[in-house]
Amino acid sequence: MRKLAAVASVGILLSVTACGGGGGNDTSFTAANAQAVTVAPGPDSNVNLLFTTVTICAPGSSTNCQSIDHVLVDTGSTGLRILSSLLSPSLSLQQETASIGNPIVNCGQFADGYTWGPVKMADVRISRELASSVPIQVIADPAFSVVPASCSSIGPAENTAQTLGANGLLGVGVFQQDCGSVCANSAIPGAYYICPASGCKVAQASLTQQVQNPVSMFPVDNNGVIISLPSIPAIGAVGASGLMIFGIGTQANNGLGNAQVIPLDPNAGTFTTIFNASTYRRSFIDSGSNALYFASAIPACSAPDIAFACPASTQNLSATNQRISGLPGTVSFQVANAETLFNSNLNFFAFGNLAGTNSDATSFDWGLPFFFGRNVFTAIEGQSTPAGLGPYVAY
Amino acid sequence: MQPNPCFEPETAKPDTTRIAAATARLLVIALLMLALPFSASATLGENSTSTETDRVSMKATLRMLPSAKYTVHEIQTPSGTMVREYVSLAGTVFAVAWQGPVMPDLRQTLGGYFDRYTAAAAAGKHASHRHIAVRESDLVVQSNGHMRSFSGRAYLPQLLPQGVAIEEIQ
Repeated sequence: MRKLAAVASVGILLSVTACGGGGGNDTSFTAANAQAVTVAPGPDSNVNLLFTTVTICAPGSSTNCQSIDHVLVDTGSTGLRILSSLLSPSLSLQQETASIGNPIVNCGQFADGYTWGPVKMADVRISRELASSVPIQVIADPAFSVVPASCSSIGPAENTAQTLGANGLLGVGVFQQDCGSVCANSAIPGAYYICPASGCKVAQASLTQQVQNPVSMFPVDNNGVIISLPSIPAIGAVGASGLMIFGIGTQANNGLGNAQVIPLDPNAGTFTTIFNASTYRRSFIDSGSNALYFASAIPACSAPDIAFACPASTQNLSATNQRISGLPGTVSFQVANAETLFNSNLNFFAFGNLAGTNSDATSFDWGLPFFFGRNVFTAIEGQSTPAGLGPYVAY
Repeated sequence: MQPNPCFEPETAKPDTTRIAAATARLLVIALLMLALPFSASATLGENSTSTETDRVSMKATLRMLPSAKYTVHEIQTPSGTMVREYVSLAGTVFAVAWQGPVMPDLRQTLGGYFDRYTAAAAAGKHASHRHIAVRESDLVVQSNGHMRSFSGRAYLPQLLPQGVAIEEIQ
């Protein structure tokens, strides 16, 4: 992967903001449900990462607030997770507790590692939407410094800006909670813990105790999100600016129009893609993936960019995503040589034709390149929309 | 908790008598081992008896699927995640694979290789939170997916039995 160490020091700064009145950011030039998002280098100088700024406040307060920038916009996870080290000590978020008053602590599960930290209640302000008393994860809170073995057994720790690749994650995927009924019905190792002073124990967590999708807790515009990003030239771009719009069919700016709706497996959030006569039945569309990841015969790049694809020449490809009634929806896409892209313009961080290898041959990961030049709708499970109940994706 | 009875009969199974005998044996072992404290003994690269340690540790059910080249030990965990351990005819676990809504206990599953995996994974820059791969001459670990849909595999290339394709491990 590209290494641009010099860039890492640039602009990962926080601002502590006193939010006057009911406002959040200055969004006077955009709709109340529209939030600016940008593709820019984050703390680890990676490519194709989509960031936004999130304001969190002590529950019920409109003045004890803090804005966190470089939060990754991630439709592939659920819940807001912010690094503890970035939070002002004066921002006193309320610890979520179990029935007997002991703290609830979360182990955030990712394919490449885990985040560890307490569940705290925060008011979450994005654009001019407000979700009140949202259970979020505060990552690496020094009050809970001992990581249970069953959490660290997931893999590498991702409890710093460098390892997380961001100051936090804004999980705005199709689920209302990160774990769901599995963790509500039994105590699952590596998910939720109750942590009295004597030490943490694996515990059940009810659906409402779990880390929540902030969007589904908005009073309005709460049935999903649209991510709208411009097209990117074939050689890439320095970055990209777009919008995250809340709600589907709830305002003048978030109608489905003639978007193709792809229903999802309600348990896994996946659908079927057919590419090269192969069926990828656990596919997903994910703003948190920085490339199109799929198994193919396209050669991988050499180290350190081994995660990416390096075809001899740019490939013009197409795949079909199964939508309602099994009618296929064809998607055309390109795969360029990642090393050529990276080396041609060292200051470019947005690429619409970047692909990588997925060792799961049953899963086509439509990452951020898919979002460029599209409006991508992510409808939340159980929420009503003009195209029916979520979960679905549409574009 | 998923209702998943041990050794549920299934159509692909070629030798039900053998399975039934193994069932009885393993139930006895399981009852004995449930009385023991948690064991850190684990699987990849180890003897096939470590499968049972894993099963007990994960509070899971086990099903054995023998084939000509190896035996697959399927461990169904309470979370719904399936862990498959590939045991060579010589009795060594040469590969593991997982699939399901929750990440499995990789420290248990990878055994002595877990620390190498996390060290190598932390040293390299990763692709995104959906994919990670560690590829060394004697150890490959690949983990993919997102919340509620994870998959992955790990194998020891030098212990892969002849004629076994990587694609079989999933």
